[in-house]
Amino acid sequence: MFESKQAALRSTGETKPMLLGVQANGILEGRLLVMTLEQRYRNSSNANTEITYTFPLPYGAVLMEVEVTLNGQVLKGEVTARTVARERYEEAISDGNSGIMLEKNLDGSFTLELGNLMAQEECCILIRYSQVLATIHGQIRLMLPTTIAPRYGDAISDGGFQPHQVPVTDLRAEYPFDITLTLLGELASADVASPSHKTSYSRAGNGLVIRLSQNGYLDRDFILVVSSLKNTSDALLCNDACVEGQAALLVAFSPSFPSQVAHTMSAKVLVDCSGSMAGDSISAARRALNGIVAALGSEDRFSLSSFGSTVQHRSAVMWNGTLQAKASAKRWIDKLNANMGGTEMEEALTSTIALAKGVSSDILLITDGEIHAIDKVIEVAIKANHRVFVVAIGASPAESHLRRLASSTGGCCDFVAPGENVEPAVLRMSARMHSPLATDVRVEWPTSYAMRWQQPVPDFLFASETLNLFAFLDAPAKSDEPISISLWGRLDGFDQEVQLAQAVVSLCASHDNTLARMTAYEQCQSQIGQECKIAKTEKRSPNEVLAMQYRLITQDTNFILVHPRSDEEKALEMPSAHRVSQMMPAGWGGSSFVMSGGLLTSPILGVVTGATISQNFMRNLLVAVGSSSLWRTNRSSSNSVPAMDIPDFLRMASQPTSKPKKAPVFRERDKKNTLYWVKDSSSQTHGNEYSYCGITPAGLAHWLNVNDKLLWPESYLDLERLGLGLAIREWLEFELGVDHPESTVVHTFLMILKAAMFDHDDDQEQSKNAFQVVADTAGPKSNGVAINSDLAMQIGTALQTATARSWPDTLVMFPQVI
Amino acid sequence: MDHPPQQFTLNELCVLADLPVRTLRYYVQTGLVDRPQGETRAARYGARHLEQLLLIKKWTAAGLSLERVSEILQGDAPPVPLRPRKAGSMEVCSHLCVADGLEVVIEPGRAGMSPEQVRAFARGVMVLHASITTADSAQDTAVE
Repeated sequence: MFESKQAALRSTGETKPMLLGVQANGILEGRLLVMTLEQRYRNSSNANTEITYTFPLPYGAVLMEVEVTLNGQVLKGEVTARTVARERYEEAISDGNSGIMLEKNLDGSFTLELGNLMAQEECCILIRYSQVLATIHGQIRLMLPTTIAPRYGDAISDGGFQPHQVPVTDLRAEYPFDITLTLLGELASADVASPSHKTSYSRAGNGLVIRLSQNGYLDRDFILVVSSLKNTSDALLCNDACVEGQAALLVAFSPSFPSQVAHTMSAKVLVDCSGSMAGDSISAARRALNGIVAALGSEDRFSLSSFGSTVQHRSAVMWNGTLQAKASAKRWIDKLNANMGGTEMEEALTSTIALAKGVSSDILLITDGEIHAIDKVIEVAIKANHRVFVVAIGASPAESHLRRLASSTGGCCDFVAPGENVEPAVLRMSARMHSPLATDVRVEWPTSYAMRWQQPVPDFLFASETLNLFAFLDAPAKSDEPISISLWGRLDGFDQEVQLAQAVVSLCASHDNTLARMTAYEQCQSQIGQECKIAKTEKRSPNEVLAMQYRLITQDTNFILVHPRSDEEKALEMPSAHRVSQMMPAGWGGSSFVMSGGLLTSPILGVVTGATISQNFMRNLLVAVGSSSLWRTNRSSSNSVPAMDIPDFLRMASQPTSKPKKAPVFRERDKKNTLYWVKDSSSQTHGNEYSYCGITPAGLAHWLNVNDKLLWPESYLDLERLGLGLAIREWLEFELGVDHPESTVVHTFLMILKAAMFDHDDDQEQSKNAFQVVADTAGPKSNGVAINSDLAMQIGTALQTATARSWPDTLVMFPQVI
Repeated sequence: MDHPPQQFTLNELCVLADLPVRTLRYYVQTGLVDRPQGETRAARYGARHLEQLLLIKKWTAAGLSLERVSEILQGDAPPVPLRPRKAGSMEVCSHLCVADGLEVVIEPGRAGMSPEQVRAFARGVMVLHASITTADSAQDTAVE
């Protein structure tokens, strides 16, 4: 009988780590990145072990090669159908031999299974992938994820993982990571910076070599930003070594639109305030949101919502981008916290889409994307016909999930790392959402080209953002004439279609048939989910056949290697399981603060690191704690309480005032009396879309009548505690409070209200004439506080249409202008 | 004459339980399912293994985590005390803010609650709090 009674795997706490580290080496030339990841393993136990490691790769990465070195011996495997690979692997384990298998998961991650690694044996897995990067507004962003953050939801039923593949996080896990990148061609002389790591730069021939200048770990995305690039279109053509007479083509269009008036933006903003956003992520989210709101024009429209386990809407309708609305939005944003629990994104999206029905708008989603059930979210977004623009936040956001969500709806995804300057991402996102739409987009292929397969063109395009398209065609005859491929589309305000980009074709030689293999990968991806008529005699799907032909690891094929052991070396029992835990992403859930790459000048290295720190706060902290890039704290983000929220009874105890020491008489608010209090917001609607919940004019007037003036509220916060609705308080603060001190505004408002005599049972009778009210109230001094007659007149006029039970529509709907 | 207890190979057991081989091996490796008689190709499983697998399927289909299922499978013993969380283990908890100064922490996996149940619980707590605070303020009302 086995000893263990627990279901969990024994992990880093009880055995030494078996993943020793990851070394990455990459070459970036033009837009093509070729990256090699070397994962080193060692069975530190005394028994044969099966190591399982689920790891991420960048979105759009195409696995080209897997090489295994076992105890110094280089072994070659092959790509085969998934079911066949699994059978061979299980047979190997049953026979006591070693097996290595690599499988692609539904979320785009990969799981490596290293079965029957014998005691104290070492194994090195080398994974090479290629990726075509996009130039966006003259910038390339290279991202290499290194860890999978904890995700909300069930990994098996929502995420599609098998039990042994489920990524688990262990706070004690720590694996070294190192990277060396070489930039060639024009990239070697571009501006380069890393917001995620401290890096050093040196020249090697015509290339620029980037290395880490401090120990790295598998705890955050590695990010390199190459900027000041020209937006150009080009096309590469290579012969396909797998299929005679076929060529592969990669066209990179950089569309430009003719000068047009920017469209107004209409966006429903939805912010992730779940627990995983605590710490660095929610700070970055606030900065990004404040930037987006600040950039709004007066004609732009927006709404604000936040979600976690539930969803909360700041407004049920879209606001115009007025100064008052932006001030109200900033107030709401600054109060955002990662305290709303889980990440029920599907429900939140559904609820947000339902806002302002009939108004065509986009969704701007700010999130780290750490959920398993992303497919359901994508379904909702597609059905709703809303473009989803995503600002992905965090040290390790779920890139694959969020890019899929954005691209499937015609939107776009941008990324902000902890400590990274958010303004560029904000400006890009704002530009996209204001951008006119290019529709009916089509590619005009040269007439001499006989196309065999071409990647579908997306429905929407954004100016200055590269569109990469792959295609197979009959290998064309050589031509001395330059051949170009054009991109056309329709723009608002133009009767005819417009040429958006033109790319000239260059012939090239492809190492390892890379271009053709990447094209085949895109073909596989585009064919997923399509109905394929397979003859009954066929055992394999077209995607399987294509993937095996080009040695691609896809949803249908695995990499498998079986290493037979001699009889003496064979395993005699089922291997023990060791699942490589994920490192906790830096800054995740408020567990730590990520210091950005930093600005350091090292006389020894003779180079300047390129990362920037966006806030004085972070800069001061960097100086205070030295050059460490990670500052771990014990504090819980939920324990931070701003000073303004100290309860009154504490404040009164510590701040002696001249007022009599009476406890606040909040008990005087009669919440059961519907004349004084609106409990259920649905019972009082304004303009069919606005609702009010809180103290009524009569309720407030009654309270003022029964309480000494010395106890009257003096601040907007006091009014909040008394139950005055948010919209009315913000009207006082952002409309009237611009030109008058807070205490004056509050006092005048209360005096006017008291003088208007709402405190009676007739809920239909309106207040006294505003001018009469002001006349009763105004005077050189009232209770020792001067009443400004202009202010009093403004307030009196605004309250003109109030009744005992109901505030005026104009106030309840603030900041929306009626 | 007594029939010898039926025995199955790994593959046969997988077919009976309708589970992938890899998953079944994972359950054995992690102790959810007892180890077989014999090893590698000679490994044989019996009715008890099949019963364990069917119970695991039932409870995981109900939305329970494998850790929770493990506790249930051990349920024949005297009341199993709540297993303390392992040092260094991570979990994602929901923090339901009921009111200023009042918070409920939920880890659905350990609580054995589905997302629908968590939402229903959250709504119930909010309603309860609202009714309690409304009742208190009504008692405290002293209209002059």
